[in-house]
Amino acid sequence: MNRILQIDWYSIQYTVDEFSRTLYSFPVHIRFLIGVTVLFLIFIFILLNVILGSRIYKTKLLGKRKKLRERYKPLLTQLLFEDDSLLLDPALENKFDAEDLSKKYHRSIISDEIIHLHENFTGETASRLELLFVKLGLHHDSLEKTKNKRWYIAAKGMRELALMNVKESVVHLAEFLNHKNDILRMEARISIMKLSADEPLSFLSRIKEPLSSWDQANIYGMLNKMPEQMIPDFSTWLNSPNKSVVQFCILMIGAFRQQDSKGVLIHMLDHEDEKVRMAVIKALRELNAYASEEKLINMYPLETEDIQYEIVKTLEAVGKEHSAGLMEKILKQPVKNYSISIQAVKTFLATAESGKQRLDHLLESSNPQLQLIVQHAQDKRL
Amino acid sequence: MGLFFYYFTKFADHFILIYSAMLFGTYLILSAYSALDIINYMRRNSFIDYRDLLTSPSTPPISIIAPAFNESKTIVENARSLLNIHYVNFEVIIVNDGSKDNTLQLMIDAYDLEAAPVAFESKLHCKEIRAVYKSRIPSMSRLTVVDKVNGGKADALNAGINVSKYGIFAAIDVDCILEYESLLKMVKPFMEEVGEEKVIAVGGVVRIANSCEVKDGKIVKVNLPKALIPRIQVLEYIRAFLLGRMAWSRLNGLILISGAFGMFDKKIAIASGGYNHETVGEDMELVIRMRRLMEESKIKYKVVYLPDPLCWTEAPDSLKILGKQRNRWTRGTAETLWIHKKLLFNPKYKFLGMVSMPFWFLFEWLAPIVETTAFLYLVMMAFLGILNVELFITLFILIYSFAILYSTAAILFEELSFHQYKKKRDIFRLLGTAFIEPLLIHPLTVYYAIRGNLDLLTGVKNWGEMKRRGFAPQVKKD
Repeated sequence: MNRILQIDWYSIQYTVDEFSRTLYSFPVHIRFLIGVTVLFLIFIFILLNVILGSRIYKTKLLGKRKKLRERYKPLLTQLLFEDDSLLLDPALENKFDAEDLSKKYHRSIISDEIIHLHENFTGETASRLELLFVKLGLHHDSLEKTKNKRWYIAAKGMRELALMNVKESVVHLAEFLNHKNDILRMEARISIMKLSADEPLSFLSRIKEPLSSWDQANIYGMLNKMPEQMIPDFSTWLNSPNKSVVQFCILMIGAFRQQDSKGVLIHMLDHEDEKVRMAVIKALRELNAYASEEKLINMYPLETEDIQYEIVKTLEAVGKEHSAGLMEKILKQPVKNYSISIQAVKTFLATAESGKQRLDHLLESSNPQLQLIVQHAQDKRL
Repeated sequence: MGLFFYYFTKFADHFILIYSAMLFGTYLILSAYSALDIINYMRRNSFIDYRDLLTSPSTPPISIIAPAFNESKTIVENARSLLNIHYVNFEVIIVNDGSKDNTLQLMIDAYDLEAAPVAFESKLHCKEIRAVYKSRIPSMSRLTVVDKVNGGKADALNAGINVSKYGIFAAIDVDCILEYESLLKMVKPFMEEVGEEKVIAVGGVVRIANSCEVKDGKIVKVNLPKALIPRIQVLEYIRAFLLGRMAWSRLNGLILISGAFGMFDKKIAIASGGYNHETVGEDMELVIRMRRLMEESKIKYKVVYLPDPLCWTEAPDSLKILGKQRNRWTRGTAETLWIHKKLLFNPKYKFLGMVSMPFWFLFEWLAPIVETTAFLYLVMMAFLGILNVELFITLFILIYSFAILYSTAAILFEELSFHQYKKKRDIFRLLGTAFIEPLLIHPLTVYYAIRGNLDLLTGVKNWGEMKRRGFAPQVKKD
């Protein structure tokens, strides 16, 4: 047996020597290519192992996670629903095994489980979960995460603090409002909106970076989930040095129908920035601001086609006979923009007295192009 | 003569070696770059809730344009699938490009269509539009069907752009299946514009749907194709989309957005002249022309690429159809490079002229030609009895091992990122495919590419018919 297991060093040495001799008998460029090939083969071997290893690791990790979650579930349910005194017990931590609260991984599972439960509950149960989160000191972990240099860990921490309503973290989270990483900026804004019930949009005065349409959609998404009384007066920020903030607030004035701001918005039709003017025109439409008609008519000839289209569309909602005059003028001119002409027909019908008859009269002397435009405008499916 | 032959063989040997080294190096660098970007994208995406877009007044409306030619087998289902897309404000424009079958009639019957008086400006040239149809059914108000004289895919897309209402359009193959959040994800880069940099186009990953389970126009279960030819294409698509385009996007050098699914800024697309009728590679050609316009106008811009599997398509399952497809791709690439030859190595076009275009010229269009020439050279050497057998064998093993390495890296990326193939067996089959693909299908794809170039020289212009089986719901046998 021993003889069988005995390594034959001589024959190994011989094989190695033989291999080296053969290898060195090749020219240098062939040897180089062989070297690269061997390198590739080693990489293939490593990658294959990583692929298979990752499968095994994922399965194991999922299993471990599942096991731990199943362990904590009954305890969390008991703390939430069964015994009121347990949650207030100063020795609450003793309900968990020592390793549950000392090991980072176990704490993260408890934290995730509480957050997951929190997403499915509101009212008292949600408040109890928030209390439990704090009493177990899990908010310290989240705060710690926010200080991590890796942005995705910091963002996760911010989200946890916001979801679990850790109000005292607001000041700390506000530090990220002008962070160079856009996800951190977004998380900071959303977190502050969740945690500052009195002034959810106070951050608008502090942000320096422009808000993209995507950012605006996120903020609007959050605003939509808030009770109406928490929606602030957006005219507060209409003088912000950040133009994107101004633009967003104008859109929000329209979206939340803040009628008191109509007057300010009409003044803002003279704003130097085209995007701001565009937002104002859209908001005036939402607000049915009849007082803006004259100004809109006057500014029409000086604007770009995009703004002209919005003006014509807004006049459909806010215009009267004066607007009909402008529409008639547009329709009598050669068609330069189909969208404007189609909208002009709609606005004409909405604003002109006996508009249908006047339109028919206009069509008598018109070309087939305008006739098609009129038909198009009157077809409700288009 | 002997001396000339000696130097010729020396040159050829060195050229093959240097070209291979450049090719490997470029691909490896791009893969590493892609890996970093995919990781970053995945991390970012985990914080994003696309549902906010469904209620926001800032979300832009989108026109989805899908050309259809002889699609009677699947058109009704395909249109339904597009109409069920998860988005807030959109229109679906199906352009019947002079189908010879009853594609249009099936649509008219299924959706109760009637000709509507649609006024639109023909900003882009296209063949005559016979009629524009709208449905009498109010719930189908998003659907518009354009019936036009046959003019090819580019022509149909131009017609669709002319009729479309909105400022962003998505060009899509009518038989593609979109993922639930596809449009929301694709529109996000347009909404992220801040400052002067304009997003002009967005592309996403196209995946192969053969053998996948499809229900009500949605992929309900992802399976690796059972047949070898589509399975090999799964590997090719993962390599191309995950390893290549992501890096090009990060470098802002992407010049190809798949014709199967891409989203574009309509104003820029129109300003650059729309889709080109003169090439079968109209998808790549449009992106290059849009980029060229931006470069020449000195406007900052971006072409964005998303690594998410957003769109599923049926891949050719026979060598005959695969051959036609690859032939067309080669002709498209060559035609596009020729149309925009001015950009090649032109520093005026910065990264586009100095890196993106040369890469496509040297490593996409030229690669099969170099490969074939090298093969013929080796055959000639063998015939003359002066083949350097050691070099030949070593080089062959090197190239083969690189091909496996590259495919394995692609499978790893897929495994660690989107993890679409969940069955263990599928991963083993995919890895097995990586070992046989370079020997079985790669030589054929090289042959198809050479045929494509020859067809181009002889003036072949056709698209090559792509017969599809369609995604009939798969029923499990008891």
